[in-house]
Amino acid sequence: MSGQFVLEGVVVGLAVGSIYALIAVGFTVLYKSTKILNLAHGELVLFGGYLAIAATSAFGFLPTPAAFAAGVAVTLLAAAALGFAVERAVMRPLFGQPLLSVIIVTLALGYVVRGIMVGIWSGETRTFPPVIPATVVRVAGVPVSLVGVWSAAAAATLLVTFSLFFRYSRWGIAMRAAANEQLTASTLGVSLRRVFAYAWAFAAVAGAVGGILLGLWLGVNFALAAVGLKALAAVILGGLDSVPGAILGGLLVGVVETVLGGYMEAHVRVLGQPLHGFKEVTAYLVILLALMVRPHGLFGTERIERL
Amino acid sequence: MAYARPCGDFKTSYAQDMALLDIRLYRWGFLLLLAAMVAAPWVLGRWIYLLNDIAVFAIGAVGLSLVMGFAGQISLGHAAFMAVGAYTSWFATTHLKLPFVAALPLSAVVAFAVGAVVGLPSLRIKGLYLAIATLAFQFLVEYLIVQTVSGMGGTPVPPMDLFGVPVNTEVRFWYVVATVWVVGAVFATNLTRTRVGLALMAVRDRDYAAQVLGVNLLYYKTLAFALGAAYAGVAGSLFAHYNRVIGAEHFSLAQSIDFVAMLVIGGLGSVWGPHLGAAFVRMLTQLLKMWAPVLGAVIPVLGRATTSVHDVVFGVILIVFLIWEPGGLATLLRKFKRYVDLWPFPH
Amino acid sequence: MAEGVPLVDTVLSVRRMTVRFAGVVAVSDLSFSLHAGELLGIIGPNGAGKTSVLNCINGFYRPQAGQVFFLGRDITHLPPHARASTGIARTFQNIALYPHMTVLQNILSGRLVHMRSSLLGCGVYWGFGQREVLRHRQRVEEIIDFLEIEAYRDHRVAELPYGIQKKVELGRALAMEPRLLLLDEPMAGMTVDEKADMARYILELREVRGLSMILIEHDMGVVMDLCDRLLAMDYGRKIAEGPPKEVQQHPDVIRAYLGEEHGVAEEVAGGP
Ligand SMILES: Nc1ncnc2c1ncn2[C@@H]1O[C@H](COP(=O)(O)OP(=O)(O)OP(=O)(O)O)[C@@H](O)[C@H]1O
Ligand SMILES: [Mg+2]
Repeated sequence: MSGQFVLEGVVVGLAVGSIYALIAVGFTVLYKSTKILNLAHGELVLFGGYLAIAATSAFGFLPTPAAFAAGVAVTLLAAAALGFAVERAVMRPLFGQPLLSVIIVTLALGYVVRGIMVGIWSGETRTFPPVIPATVVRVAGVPVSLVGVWSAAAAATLLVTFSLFFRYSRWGIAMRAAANEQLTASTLGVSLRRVFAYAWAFAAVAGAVGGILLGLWLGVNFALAAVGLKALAAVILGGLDSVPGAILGGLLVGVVETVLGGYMEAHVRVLGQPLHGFKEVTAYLVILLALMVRPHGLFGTERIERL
Repeated sequence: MAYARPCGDFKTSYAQDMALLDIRLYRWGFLLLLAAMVAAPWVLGRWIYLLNDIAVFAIGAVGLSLVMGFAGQISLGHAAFMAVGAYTSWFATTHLKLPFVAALPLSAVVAFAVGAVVGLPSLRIKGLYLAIATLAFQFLVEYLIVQTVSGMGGTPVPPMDLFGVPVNTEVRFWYVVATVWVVGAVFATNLTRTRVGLALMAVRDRDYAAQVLGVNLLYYKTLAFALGAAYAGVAGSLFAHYNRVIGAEHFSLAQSIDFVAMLVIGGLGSVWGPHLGAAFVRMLTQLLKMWAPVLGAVIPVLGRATTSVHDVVFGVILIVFLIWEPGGLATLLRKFKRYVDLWPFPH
Repeated sequence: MAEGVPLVDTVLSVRRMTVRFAGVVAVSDLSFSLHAGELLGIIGPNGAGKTSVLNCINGFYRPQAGQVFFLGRDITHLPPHARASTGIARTFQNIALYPHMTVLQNILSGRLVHMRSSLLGCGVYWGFGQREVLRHRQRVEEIIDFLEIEAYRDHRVAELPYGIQKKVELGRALAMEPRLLLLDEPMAGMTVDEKADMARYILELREVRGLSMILIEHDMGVVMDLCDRLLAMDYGRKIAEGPPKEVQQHPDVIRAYLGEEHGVAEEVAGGP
């Protein structure tokens, strides 16, 4: 691995990673406040990507930037509504059910959302109208597309905003209280139901934003759902219940994937075959390794059960 | 051991109480079922292929039932274990030139070993984490299949051969698969009513208490995974020689989730659950394949793709079951039976 | 005497045990021992570290310092399930039965430490697997009789009243045929009648079987009546140890309870 190769990988990896981090934060916030592992997260990303493109083209009578802005606004509202609806219709009746049931329900939800989207958009790759010119700029001497730079910048800005929001806003504090001790939180007057509802809405919005940003950069197709699982890798790496962990995890997965995955694809052969698409499984290797070495992630809390 | 109070006259006929088919009615029912299985090809005619398909997946589902229903561990990679069995059987019959009767147990053994390795970290990683680990395993296996053996297409598998008799018709395959099905199901049922089953359920219901009361969590969780994988391996081997071609698409994440659906729909932790669930899921899958274009025309959002109809229908069914009947078909049947028993004076 | 009685006089000894959780010292430099056939009571205000002591004896918590000897053997480094096999059984403060299993299955699960059938034996069932289950079932029936819960044997425990669940939990521990029984507040939340029943079982286990036991209990009346010796804890430290009467009168004990809550303190001072 040459120095230049690594540097390029790191820059691009950090850019992609910042979007992973955003998606991962949605995941972690949901887990922190509801203890639900959402296996439909990838579908939320997909939903955001497709809907934003569809909405943008529906606003096609406006100039492109305005149409895009309107499309994004509609998508975010729709995502929040989807989050609320899922919480109300599916998760609330399951409150208090075993972990197994709840996880399977999120899986089933993902199936439904994806099925409907395949039905409507039949799985072709779609792209946004050129909101940002398709030029290449240099970052630290590394060529990166301008779209990538913008996406990463947007993701970074949102990450900072969310972090501040969770630290200082009323809702952020309520969510953290719920995360720490559901019983205590409810006696302190925090409405758990509302926290759960907002957590779902937040997760859906974060996923959708991730879908839009990745979509801007790489186009939208069904492979995007797999990104939800990369967020899973990020979250596992960072520790399921840590927001800074999720951010760092996302960046790490982005970098490892581009550097290690890129290297393996380019230079390593197994049984004389080049490793096509190795990038895509790097995240899963990261998951398995992270679980073996540090089951609670880099920042996750290890709870000692009480008897 | 002498307890303080003199022991009263406790039931003396435990043997009768604990027998697998204690009530005579059940024994007759079991024999009737066996007879029906023997007669199935005459009754069903060319439709026997449906039963063959169900049987293969039911064997796999029995394995997952040990992992999820009894040990309470989540596995999203069951199809990957099936792949391990299928490719072992393929390798054994083509490259090692082993007969099918040797390849089948070999598939079970190899899958058992792989299952043990995947299940090993289950002590340190609980619940959620384990689900994710099995998911990662699923993707890695799919990737390996595509990269090393089958590519994007499929790998041909020789037909089954039983002591020189080619198993090349649906009816012949039925007798082979039905035998394995019955033996596998009875073995699993026996496991669940002895030491192993008791320990697995203890782990499922409250692992920390089980541990303090002498249950070795590492051993039993790993054992559950290994056993579950062995059943999947057997199903994979049968599938390979039945379908005659195997590829990544047969052992995809979607198939793993279908296995989970079989368990949930059939009834978690029930002996009949995996069989009922496999029958339901496989029949519905076949039906949907036939009816997808029609459904898609009626409900436009479903589109015309079979996969989207399948996904939406299964997703909705899973949600409905988990919210309204978490006990699955097994519990529904029991309720129905009670209702019939009490008719016409329900209380 | 019954076969459960060990030959060694000191059944259990805990030496200089310390347990810390982020910020909290749950057990601090605690030492004590338990003689064969003895019933030792551990008392102390909420959060004193009583349950943590049991958890360390079980191996569920790993103490930061200290050792545990059981029947003359250092078990400090044994995992929980292995300690159970050496003959330590317990009940839990918050009932920890297997909710989806029946009373019978719950108690039978206590026999797991004694089950030896192989995987194949279990799967084939006819023959060895079956015989083994039947043999253990007999023991379970004896326990069900002893605890007078015949009426509930085939009920799922989750559906049973609290008092019965506590009994089933005791039954599950007894099924292990332990040499040492740890009881964590077995009477908490019970009615007076249920408490009397439980006290009777404990006494019978001690007197007839000579079972060594540690009992954690807040009800001073019960403790004073049943225990041979008391150990009082506060903030993880031992503040008194000895005959129940002496410990009850110990100034530190009265102070510990006073600091906590008046009612209990009066009860302590007033005696049974
Ligand atoms: N798993 C744990 N994680 C963190 N702190 C713990 C844990 N277990 C116990 N503690 C702390 O250790 C201290 C002692 O707890 P312990 O449960 O042993 O008390 P106890 O004497 O049994 O109290 P109670 O009478 O309420 O049952 C408490 O401050 C408790 O908060
Ligand atoms: Mg306690």
